[in-house]
Amino acid sequence: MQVENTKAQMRKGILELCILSILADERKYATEIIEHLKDAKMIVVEGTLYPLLARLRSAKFLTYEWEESKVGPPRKYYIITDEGKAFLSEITTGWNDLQQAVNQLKNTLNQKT
Amino acid sequence: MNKTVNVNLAGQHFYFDKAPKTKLEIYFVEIKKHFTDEVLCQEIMTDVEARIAELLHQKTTHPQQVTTIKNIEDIIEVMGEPNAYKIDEEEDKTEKTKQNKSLRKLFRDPDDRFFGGVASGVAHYFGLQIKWVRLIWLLLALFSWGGFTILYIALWVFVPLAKTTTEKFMMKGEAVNLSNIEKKLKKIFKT
Repeated sequence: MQVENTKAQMRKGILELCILSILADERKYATEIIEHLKDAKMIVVEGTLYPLLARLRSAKFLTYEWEESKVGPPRKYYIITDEGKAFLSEITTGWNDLQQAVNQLKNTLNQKT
Repeated sequence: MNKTVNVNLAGQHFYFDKAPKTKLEIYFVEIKKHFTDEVLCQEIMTDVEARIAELLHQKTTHPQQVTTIKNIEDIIEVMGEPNAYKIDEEEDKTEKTKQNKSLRKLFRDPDDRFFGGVASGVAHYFGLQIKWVRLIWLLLALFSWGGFTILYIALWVFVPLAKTTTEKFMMKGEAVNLSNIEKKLKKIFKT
């Protein structure tokens, strides 16, 4: 199994968590979300983001509004919904538990060897 | 000299050469293949178009500038190959073969025709050799007392001519994907 492929799969799984976290405090439009994700090295190409945004939107975790922009065409701002916030807090807990569990497992294994 | 075409992306106007326009069209077709849900697909494509328009906008220094194949290649590099848009791994193979099949459509072939290109279109559609279809046509024309002529004219009128490269691929039932389109474009530019 290729390392890169596994890493990509792991990233994809937690991308939704990241997207919701980025939007947790303020609304952002796609390009801003992309910048955050690229900075954090969570995505390599931008195409990955759009299907996820649409899926979160259809699950009612996100909504959007259009706003005129001074420099170009209107921008589509994504906003987290209350359901989205509830979902985010749940998966954040899930993520923390998982992280802890993996670390603990690795530690016990290390101690044995 | 290249023919320039007008392209509307997310409500903005761009001037394109023909080859980059085809390349972008194929790119969109390839992305859409990954989504079965119509509404979701529409939403994703609106966002993708808007982003591509934005990227193109950054590259154009004056409004009359023509978008080249290099511009589109750069954009695909940023956006990622169509595979990057796939969310779920499971719907992979079965979906793909299904969709490639259903992509075959009846068109009239403008490159190989006596009259309307109906025979060549039908031959492509059923995967037959064109000479047999023409032979059947001839026999039908002789023995159907004009009935066939009416049918032929009806087909001529109602079956669309394959105008774009995408349509020509669909006519032949070939997968509409970037590698096929590239081969085709290379052929065009060599001649």
